[in-house]
Amino acid sequence: MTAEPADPDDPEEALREVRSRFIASFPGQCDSIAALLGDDADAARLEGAHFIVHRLAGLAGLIGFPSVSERATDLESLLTTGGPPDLALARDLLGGIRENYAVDLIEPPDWVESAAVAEGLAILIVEDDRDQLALLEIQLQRAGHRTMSVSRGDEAIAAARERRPAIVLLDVELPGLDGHSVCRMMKTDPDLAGIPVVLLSTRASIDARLSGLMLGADDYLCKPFDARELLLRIENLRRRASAAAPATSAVTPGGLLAFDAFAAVATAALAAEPAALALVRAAADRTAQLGVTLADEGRRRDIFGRYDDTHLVWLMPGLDGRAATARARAALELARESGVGDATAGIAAGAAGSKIAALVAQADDALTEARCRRETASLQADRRAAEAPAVAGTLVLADDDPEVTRVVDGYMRAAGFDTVLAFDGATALQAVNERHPDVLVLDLMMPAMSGFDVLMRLQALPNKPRVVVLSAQGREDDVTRAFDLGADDYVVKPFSPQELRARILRLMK
Amino acid sequence: MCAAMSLHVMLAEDDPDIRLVSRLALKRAGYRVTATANGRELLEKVTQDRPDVILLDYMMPELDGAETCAQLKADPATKDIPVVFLTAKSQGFQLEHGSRLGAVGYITKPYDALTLGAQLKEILERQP
Repeated sequence: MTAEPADPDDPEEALREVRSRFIASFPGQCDSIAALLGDDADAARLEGAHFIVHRLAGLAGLIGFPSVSERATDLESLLTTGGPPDLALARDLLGGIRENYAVDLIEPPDWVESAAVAEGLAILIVEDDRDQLALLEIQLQRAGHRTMSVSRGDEAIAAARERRPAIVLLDVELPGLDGHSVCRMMKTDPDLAGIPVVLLSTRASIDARLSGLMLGADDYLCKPFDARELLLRIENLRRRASAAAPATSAVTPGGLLAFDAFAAVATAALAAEPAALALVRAAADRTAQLGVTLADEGRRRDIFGRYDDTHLVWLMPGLDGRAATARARAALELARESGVGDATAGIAAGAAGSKIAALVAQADDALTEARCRRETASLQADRRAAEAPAVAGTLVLADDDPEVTRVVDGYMRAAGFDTVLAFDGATALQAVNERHPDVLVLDLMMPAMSGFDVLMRLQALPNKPRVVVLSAQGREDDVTRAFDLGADDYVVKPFSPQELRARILRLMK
Repeated sequence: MCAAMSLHVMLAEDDPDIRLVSRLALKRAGYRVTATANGRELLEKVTQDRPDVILLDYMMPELDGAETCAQLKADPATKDIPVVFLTAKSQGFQLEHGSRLGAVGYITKPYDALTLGAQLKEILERQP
């Protein structure tokens, strides 16, 4: 275990390797720290956070992330001053760590030849203009990505099928078959639909962008674009893709997740497919044992968490309400026979994109009903689903310009969204905490607390909403910064509510 | 470089990446380096291949930096080897604790690969 590998021939190569490993693990490390610094942080969680921060501070400086190291050292000092630390301040410092990461990433030390964004992705470029292609190849390869290219639209599908790129950059105007048609064909092909597509076009009109997004493109860039923006958008798509991946590995069979961790994993699972949620009630001294029994009986994909002393939560991805109820009933009866004790379950069926909090509330109703009827498991009453209005989703609209807010609000409500308005950052943050919206539409320039501050604070939330930022024309740096702080998309003012809606729907997909 | 010229550093650091990078950085600065993964392993090796200086990460599983230092100082065979801690800045109570344990210095974060060797040299030159 202690044998060191032989010294690499080229120490700089080794440094680069460690650096790219660090880059790949950085977002995950920050998420872990954020989870451990939640409001329920106890001594053990703080110790865990301290341990990650300690290593982060040590390594970051060594491999060319001096400002990350500095900020992480501040956080480490805060965590070791003795006595309970100020958690809000700790989370602010974590926000600073994430912010400094972008700074260090864009200005790497000399021994890093390129501004490597992350472990390279295989990127397919579909572009007929040879100069444009050469430029893209240079920019992407410098950032550590691997590129492949075709110059005709009708070659793109076959290339994507054969070479399985992680991302496709697709020019709109192409010989053979235009980019919009290629995009539509990819997004309707079950084999290719999962590959993110970024459309590249010289057409800056809102209509062109809109139709691209409607066709299922994952993002849209207008030429000429800044290399940094392209790289950040690619990084963003990668992050989004990995968040939507089935979260099986985060679950240890037999282990129960704390509720916030459960909610994070379950939300990711629900983003990908429908799932049923069971709320299981048992005697306080039996919940742990029951959790182990259920996890043993459950499928590998199932996710188990502890809601409180007497309730467990159990997410069954891919199952409808009826199947989930049958499964819960069988498992609980088996548990009873094997002496674990009596338990009752309420089940709620969720569509892809459902909110965990809403499902838990519905499952709680079903649980009450099951206990009244003395049944082992009961499904959420069907009438509730019938009565529920068809809400497209919940939005928080945060902009200090009442004119913008009024227009957007009217349009979004007409489009079936529930809306909550906020005219400053602090109110926006409060609305997010209280209403758990699907998407936050966030102006960057607001009084009381700017959009950047809101983004920074959102990072500490386990279930942060998707965020579309509103940016003023000519403030592309702001967009770059917002992306780094976790924004998912942006529109430039003046924008059409129609485009905003298309972007919101795409994020909720 | 002549072997007699190069000081032998023994390092204890639990994180494999930090260990690798620190080792490369010190080597490049002209030191001979033995890297170990924790205090326990360092205590095992320290008598077999006596180093000129010991670099200890403060926070380690198995046996942390303070504990390791205390054991080194308690053993007549190792008590004279200078010990330097790798630690966060302004962790006053740790620093104080460390010097009571007999450490000769601290390298505080952020340390970078290019200056780690120089910082260590500076500390050693301050010694009588």
